[in-house]
Amino acid sequence: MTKCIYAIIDSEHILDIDIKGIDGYPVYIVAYKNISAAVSDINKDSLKVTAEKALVYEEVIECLMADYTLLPMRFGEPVKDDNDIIEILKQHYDEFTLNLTQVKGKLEYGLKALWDIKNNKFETDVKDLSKVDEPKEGSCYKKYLLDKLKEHKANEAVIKRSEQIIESINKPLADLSFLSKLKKMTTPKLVLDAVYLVEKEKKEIFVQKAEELKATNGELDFLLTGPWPPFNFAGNYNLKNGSAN
Amino acid sequence: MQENKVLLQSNSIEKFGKEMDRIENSLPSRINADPKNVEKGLAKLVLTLVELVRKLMEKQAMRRLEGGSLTDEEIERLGETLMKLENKMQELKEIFGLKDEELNLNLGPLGDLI
Repeated sequence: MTKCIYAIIDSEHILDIDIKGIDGYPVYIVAYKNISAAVSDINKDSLKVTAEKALVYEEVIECLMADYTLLPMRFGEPVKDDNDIIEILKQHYDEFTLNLTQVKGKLEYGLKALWDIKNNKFETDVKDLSKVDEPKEGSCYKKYLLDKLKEHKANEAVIKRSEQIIESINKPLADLSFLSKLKKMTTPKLVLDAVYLVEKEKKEIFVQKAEELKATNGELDFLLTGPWPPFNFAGNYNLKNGSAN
Repeated sequence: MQENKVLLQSNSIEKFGKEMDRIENSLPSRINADPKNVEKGLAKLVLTLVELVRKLMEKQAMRRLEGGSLTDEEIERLGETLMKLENKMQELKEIFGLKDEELNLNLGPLGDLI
């Protein structure tokens, strides 16, 4: 029977909550020193990620999160048996304990902001910044180059505007967070895609600041979600060959 | 999940879902080692590198144009070179059935090449 690790938790005591994992197998812990892996049996053909299994996986982690500090593990990495799990805990003990300390008492929030460059306000800014004098004479090659220059200036204007927006939104939220990660312009519309690790006692002030930013940036579409288990701050561990990255 | 995770929302979730689908569709999929695809895969790699060089040349040309350091003759020659290069790239993409967005390489933590 294959095992599935849901999370590493900061406790070596038997779970006092009854949780069913993927395929309905009960979740239990495998302990090493003062940390444990929350695991369950899993059928081999269940290792392929589906939306349904991902939801069950997420629910297990959310249940654990209510009572424990945890590092969520990537779904779909099978482990042979409890002995292998203890080996993993031994090999990564230092990284696990360090990361558990880092995420203790904190929650993850995700913020996405969409913009529509064809929105009138932005388009006007871009048009103003990308003005180029039309050639009075010259061949199609000169016109081609000048059209390229217009395009280039328009792109630079978009980049400049996006940087301003990202800075004005991300900085105040990052200042309220313990840690943050940011992706810029992952698509032409997704101007900001960020995650923040926020101390529990700062939750209200963080959400309030996000509301203020939403109100002052009416041309953007905001989506703030959370609290989530610290998926983006748990670290990356290769459980197959025992190396962490 | 026991609680509603959406704390702030300006527009429909579908709008955000659409952008996440775009990201997912642009992620590199598993390598297809089918012999029929080897030629296309190699063309994709070569044309990606050519496209990188072309874009760098274009950027350099823009800088020189903005800087005002080019004569009319130089502008004509540069325009002709870049236009013919872009047209040739378009031809090659059509021959190998490649789209613009396919000419890119994901460098992992460093992001995309282009």
